[in-house]
Amino acid sequence: MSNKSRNFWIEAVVLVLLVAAGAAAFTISSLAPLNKDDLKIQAGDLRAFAAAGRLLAIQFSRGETTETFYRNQTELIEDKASAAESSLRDAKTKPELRQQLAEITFLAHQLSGTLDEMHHGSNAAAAAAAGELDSLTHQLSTQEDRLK
Amino acid sequence: MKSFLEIFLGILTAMGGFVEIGELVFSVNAGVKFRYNLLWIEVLGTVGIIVFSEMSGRVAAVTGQPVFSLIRQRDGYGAGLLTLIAANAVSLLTCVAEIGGLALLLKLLFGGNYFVLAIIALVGLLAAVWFLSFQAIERIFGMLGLCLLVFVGAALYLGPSWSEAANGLIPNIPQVETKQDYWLYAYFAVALMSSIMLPYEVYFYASGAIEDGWNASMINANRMIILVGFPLGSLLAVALMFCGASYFNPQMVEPQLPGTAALAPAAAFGKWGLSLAIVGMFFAFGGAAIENALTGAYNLAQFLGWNWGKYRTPKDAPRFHLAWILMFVVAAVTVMTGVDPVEVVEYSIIFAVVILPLTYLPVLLAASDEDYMGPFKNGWLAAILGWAYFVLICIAALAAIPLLIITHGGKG
Amino acid sequence: MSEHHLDMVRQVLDRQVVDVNHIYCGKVDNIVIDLEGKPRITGILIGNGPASDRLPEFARWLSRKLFGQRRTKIPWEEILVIKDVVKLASEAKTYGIDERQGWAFDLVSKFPGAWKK
Repeated sequence: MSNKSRNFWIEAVVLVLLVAAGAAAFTISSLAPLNKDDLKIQAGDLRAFAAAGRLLAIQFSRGETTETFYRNQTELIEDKASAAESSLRDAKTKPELRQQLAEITFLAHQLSGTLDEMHHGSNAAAAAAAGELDSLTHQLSTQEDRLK
Repeated sequence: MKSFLEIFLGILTAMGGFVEIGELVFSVNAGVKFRYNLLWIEVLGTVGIIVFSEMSGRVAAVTGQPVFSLIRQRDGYGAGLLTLIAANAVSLLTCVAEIGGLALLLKLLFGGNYFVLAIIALVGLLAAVWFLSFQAIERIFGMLGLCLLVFVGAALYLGPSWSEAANGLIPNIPQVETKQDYWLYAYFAVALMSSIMLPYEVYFYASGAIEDGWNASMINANRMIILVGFPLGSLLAVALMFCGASYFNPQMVEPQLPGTAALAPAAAFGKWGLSLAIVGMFFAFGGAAIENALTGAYNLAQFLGWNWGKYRTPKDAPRFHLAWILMFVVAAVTVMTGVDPVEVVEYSIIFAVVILPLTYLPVLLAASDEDYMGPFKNGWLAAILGWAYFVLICIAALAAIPLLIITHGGKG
Repeated sequence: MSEHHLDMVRQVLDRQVVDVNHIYCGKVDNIVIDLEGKPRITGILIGNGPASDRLPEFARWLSRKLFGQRRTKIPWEEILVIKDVVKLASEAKTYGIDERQGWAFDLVSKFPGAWKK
């Protein structure tokens, strides 16, 4: 093989190996069961969604935002919460964490539900939703702390 | 000598254009997670971007050459090509994030389908860049971005803790709950600094200098605009951090949507505060989208030797104009795949810091080169600061990816 | 052209090429050296073909596949002067390197207002 053509193949193979390694690492990390840290992050994200929803509801009921803003921001947060809930439903984890995974998934479901009610509910319902979200925020925060 | 008005407008434009979606999200969340402890990074990053923007502006004014021409001349074709691909990839991702951000803001203002709004944003951006002059674009987007000053008002209204803030100005390592939080702190430090010193700023600034027809006589005006405008602009980012620390942190909110961040001015000033915040974000994100699309086109044209510039008509610089149009279109198509703009910008900021040394070294070397710059080459202050920051950037570049992995993508 | 010393790498290679009207025509992507008899520089090359020649093997192949192999040789006699840029003696279209004669120009001309700044 000439020098040129040998270099070509060396470079091509190295490139393919790098890409394959990257793809493998990515796939492995996505398919791996959730460990303690991953679960803590999920709980933390959900807690942040709940808190954001709660703050939104409180401020809307105080007249600090427009209705359009309220409804659409709720929808955006709800999309994120639902996505998190779906990914939790599909998730696997070690036996000792299964109970907590179930609890967090349940809270995620409640969160999506409350946000959905907020999105389609009346303006007056915002204050009540804030209360529910407050409770969810604290429950999720407790879950998060247990995993630290 | 430029008129006082020109300089004043330049300062306002630099100020209003300082913040984009990445800086917004990282500044607020840095405030939420670490309160005022990362304030020193805002200062560090602002000084850094001042140093390198001044250098790149000076090089462009004196040599008449933009950064990428110099990169090709000094680094050669191969290394230059690598820098081009990396820089344009980051600019493209940033453009994706800004367009996504615009779609989110449009949704908050008018409701509607996110994807339809992204198309509307795309069309608006294309029209703005096609029909407006460079100066008009810069002025309009820069100055309307100043609506973000409402965050400064909100930060003051919400009662910051000044003593904590003062402590945060000194480089420190905060008290944290778990060991993992130390890594998260380091990650935020690197990401926040990168969000202030994004490569496109330097490329765009130099190309903008040539668009504006600067020559060596503009050097002092350049310095004044940067030394006043950029620190004032960083106040906007600082205000965001303050809001994170004093308002969102106690409520356990970690804003991952621009709308959530806008709740702070809403709390302080009601619906007017909210509207100003959204309008400010709109023009800040829009301006950044435009700057990144143009930067991609500038880089490509300057590397390959095409005619370039908004000061040239599309017929005189066809490839350049098609290039920025393509940047916008590809970015918008990527937004249509439903990626989360905030996640995109978080990753692009980390990759930006990895390639930052590639960007800044040629600028530093060119600005120090007597053959190019004559009497305008780096003085002792620019040289010391330039090299010190270069070392800092290299450290950050090496640490970025490991930190991203250790902190599980910046979540902890 | 003056007789003094010219550093091909630092002053010619990768420099901007402009035509007699100062329109940009690409960069000096490579240099032609005639090796018959006494080695002489006979011209400069512009285009992705000669530029790709400077890349490592795999990158060269990829670059050619993606962006073509166009190659324009400008004889050394056509170079008017070399200062910060390499200035040619005639208009860009004489050499076939005028952007305004390609498909980019045709496409862009179709958009409204393309003649305005």
